Amino acid sequence: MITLGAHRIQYNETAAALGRRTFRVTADDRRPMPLRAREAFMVRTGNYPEGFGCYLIPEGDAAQLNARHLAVAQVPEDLTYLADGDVIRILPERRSLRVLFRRSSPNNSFLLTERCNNYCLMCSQPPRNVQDGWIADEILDALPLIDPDTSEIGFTGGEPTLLGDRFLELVQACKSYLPRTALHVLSNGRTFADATFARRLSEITHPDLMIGVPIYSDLSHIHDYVVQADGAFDETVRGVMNLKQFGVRVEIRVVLHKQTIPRLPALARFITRNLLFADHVALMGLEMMGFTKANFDDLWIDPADYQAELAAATHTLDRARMNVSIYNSQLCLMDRSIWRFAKRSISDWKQEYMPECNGCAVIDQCAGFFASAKLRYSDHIAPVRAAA
Amino acid sequence: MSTVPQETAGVAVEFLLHVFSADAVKRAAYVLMHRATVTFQTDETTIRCLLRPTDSSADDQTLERDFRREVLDQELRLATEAKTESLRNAILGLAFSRTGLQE
Amino acid sequence: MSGFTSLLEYEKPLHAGYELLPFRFTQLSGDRYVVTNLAGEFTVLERPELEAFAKTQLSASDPVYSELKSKHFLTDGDSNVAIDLLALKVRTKLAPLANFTGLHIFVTTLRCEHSCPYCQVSRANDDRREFDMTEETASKAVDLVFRSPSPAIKIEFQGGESLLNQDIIEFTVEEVTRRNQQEKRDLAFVIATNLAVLDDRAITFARKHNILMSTSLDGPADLHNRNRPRPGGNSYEKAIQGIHRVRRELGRDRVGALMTTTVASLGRVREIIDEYVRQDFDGIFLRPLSPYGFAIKTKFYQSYDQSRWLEFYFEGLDYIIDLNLAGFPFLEHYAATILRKMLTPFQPGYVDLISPAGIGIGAIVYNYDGDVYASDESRMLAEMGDKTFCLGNVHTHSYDELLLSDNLLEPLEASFAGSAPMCSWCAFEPYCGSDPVFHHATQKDFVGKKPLSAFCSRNMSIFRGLVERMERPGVREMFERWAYMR
Repeated sequence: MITLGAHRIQYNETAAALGRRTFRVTADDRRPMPLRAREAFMVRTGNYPEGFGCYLIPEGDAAQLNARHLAVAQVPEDLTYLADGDVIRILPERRSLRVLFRRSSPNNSFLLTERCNNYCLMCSQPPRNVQDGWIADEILDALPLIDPDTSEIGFTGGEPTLLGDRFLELVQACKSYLPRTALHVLSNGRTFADATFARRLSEITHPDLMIGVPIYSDLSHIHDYVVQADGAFDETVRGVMNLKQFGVRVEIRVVLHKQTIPRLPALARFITRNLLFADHVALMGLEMMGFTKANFDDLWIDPADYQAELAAATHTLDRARMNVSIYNSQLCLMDRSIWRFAKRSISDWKQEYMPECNGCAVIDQCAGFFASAKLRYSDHIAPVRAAA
Repeated sequence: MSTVPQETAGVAVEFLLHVFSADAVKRAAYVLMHRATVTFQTDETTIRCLLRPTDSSADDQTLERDFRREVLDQELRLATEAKTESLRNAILGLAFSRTGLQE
Repeated sequence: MSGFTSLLEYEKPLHAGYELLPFRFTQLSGDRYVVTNLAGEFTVLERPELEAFAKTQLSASDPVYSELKSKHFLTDGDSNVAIDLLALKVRTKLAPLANFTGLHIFVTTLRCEHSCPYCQVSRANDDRREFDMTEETASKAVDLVFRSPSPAIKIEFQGGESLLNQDIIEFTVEEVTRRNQQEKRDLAFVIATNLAVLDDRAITFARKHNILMSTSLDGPADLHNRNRPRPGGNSYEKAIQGIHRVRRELGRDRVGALMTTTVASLGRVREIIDEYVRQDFDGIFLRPLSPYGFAIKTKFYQSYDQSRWLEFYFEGLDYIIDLNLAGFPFLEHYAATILRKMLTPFQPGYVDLISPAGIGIGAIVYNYDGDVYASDESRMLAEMGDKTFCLGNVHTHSYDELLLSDNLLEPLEASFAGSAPMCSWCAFEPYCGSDPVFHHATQKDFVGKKPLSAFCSRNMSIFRGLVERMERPGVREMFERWAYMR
């Protein structure tokens, strides 16, 4: 993921002197004094209760920027949704601010690195080979500020496990600071082909950990093609086997596009014979982001045209008593026999509906679309009529 | 090497030993034992089989055809077994090892 | 942003050839062959395809190539994770062996008021107590039960008519339950009974200890009563009454039924299945007649033709398949057991169809007199005067002496299918078993010459029949549902 943020933030001198800092946001003027140094106060009614680490003011209140004894940042209109419990990072030297965590959102993810050892044709977060070790520090700063009643957070990338020991350190920090919070890690699994690394992860004994690992084909050469890396299939499968050997929960993820659809039923059979111990299988609609546009002709298939394969694969997995979910797919396109597997999966800040959806009886159960779907979505979207 | 009585009913089938192995022929005879008793006679180049049907109403042509097919199949099996034996041992060894695989 | 590499590049290594993974093949019918790998996964190939494949002459663009790669019949390129996956799959199939003996059969008495001609146990009159198990014997047997390392233990009471000795059933259940407070195994109790002698005492006790009932139902009334004579000629009526009583008072799924096939059954399989449907069972086990006990003595078995039984079986199976396709779920248990081996990574715990054989390893029998047998069939053989598979006696032999007895180890080793002629190269070996007791009884040889073995020919016909039926639309999916049921 993709953090939300803004540029052209105005910081006063006192704020600028702080340098980069992480704060928890609050609009509550009765916060206990010892906590205030690590919190950013949202000024709404012109009050500036003392002791806070910094103060966030809406645009149009420029006068307060002059206050010397307070660190003040002026936030634009599109960040005024910030609320209690959110976690932000101020970058005064860049005149920017990043939102690391939104307490009101059920889908908070942390991007651990942009580096990756795969190069998927449809990557929604194209890799960059940069030294971004500072990200781990930032997350370690943020974790203690996150509400411990948060139900789930995610780790994504790039490939999070490329951080090696720091990855393990981050998982440990999640266990320490957020012991009641589920942790969902998206990884290509290749690093876990090293059994020692898998074992060390399991030894952390995080109370609610799942690793989401994509496998795109039952055939090694097709998987390697989709992820653009020789030998990836073997490492990924070995990684999954090692994780399960050490008792770590694994989810297998498949993105549905032109290269994965033809053999989707065969992949489902392969999973039931070879990877039946997987804890969950997620079949996911394609996101029109990142590399997808560049490889559009090799990837795009109207979802209405792959429903037979999707239903066959889903039922194969279900008959084998595996847990299956279908994400990012629209109900009107799907065979009714698989509606019960479809989940409302698109992050709230990404989810949209199309004009064709007007009047649909099941709109509240449907995952809807990614905002990016405006570029291309099925020609067959139509409202589902209520049952007679 | 046994001497085959001349007057016995049955069908004679020959195999060239540079094409077929004696093992394949013997295995085929074993598989068909409920349909025929098979006796053999060999020299350097050939193995001659006499198939005496256990059921006198059996059709000789069918018996010969099935025997020839079985010999071909067994030949293929023996070749395959030889080619895959080391991998078979590797897989079974790994299956029985204490480390490296999940419970 | 660098460019992307085409699929053609990733396919290049495939054109350099492939390596064979271990496989076996057996004729399905005509020119078609069933091909299986070490884990029992299968595919069907025409002979020319099979030959090209086996001679590593198959092209990567051939339609069957991808299926063979996916199902681990070949590897190519730099991928070799197939080795690890196959090893794991083989291990999964064999792992249950380590649990050792899970099924412990207690023969509470030989007394029985029925006189079924196919019965494999000597009959004894109703009032002869010398054929009842004593508390000393039961107690010694319970000691041996807990010597098994199996985490799940099933105690099954048989006879004669086991309920004619309720005292020993109650004694054993209470003793096992008491000791299990320490042992903490997963326990199950089953009483095999004709239900004709079911009374309040038995019901109350079964309710208290969560005991399952297993009874005989051979088919509609006239067939059942003809197969299973008893004074009064009302075996069927008593069985039905008993089934309904157990359902009503203990629970719907607390009673199961088994049928035995006789000459009288042949030709009536649909009626038999209809009877099971009528009586609300969710499936049936179409069993063959075994060549033991009274069956042989009364020349019952000889009149019974293998091919007629197979006709019976497949007519029944096809009828059941049609019921399912029309929307009525109903199982055939023998097929379901085999399908679990064919279609899933699991190994069902069915002791009669496994190699190494299930004798001792899977099941053990404690006879009323303390004699210990490697299987129920072993006991039946002893009743015919052949004690080859008697391992000893609970009163005179220790656990080690019993389970390490030559009478157990020799047949186990000799009959191991992996090294037997025909079995060692048979594609169906992963689905089959080695039945040393059957082969000893019929051929006087633990291994048996498989071309002469009714066990072999019957099972091969069934394996072929199941593979062929899976080619019908909807049947494969139905079979998968059966296979994955617990």
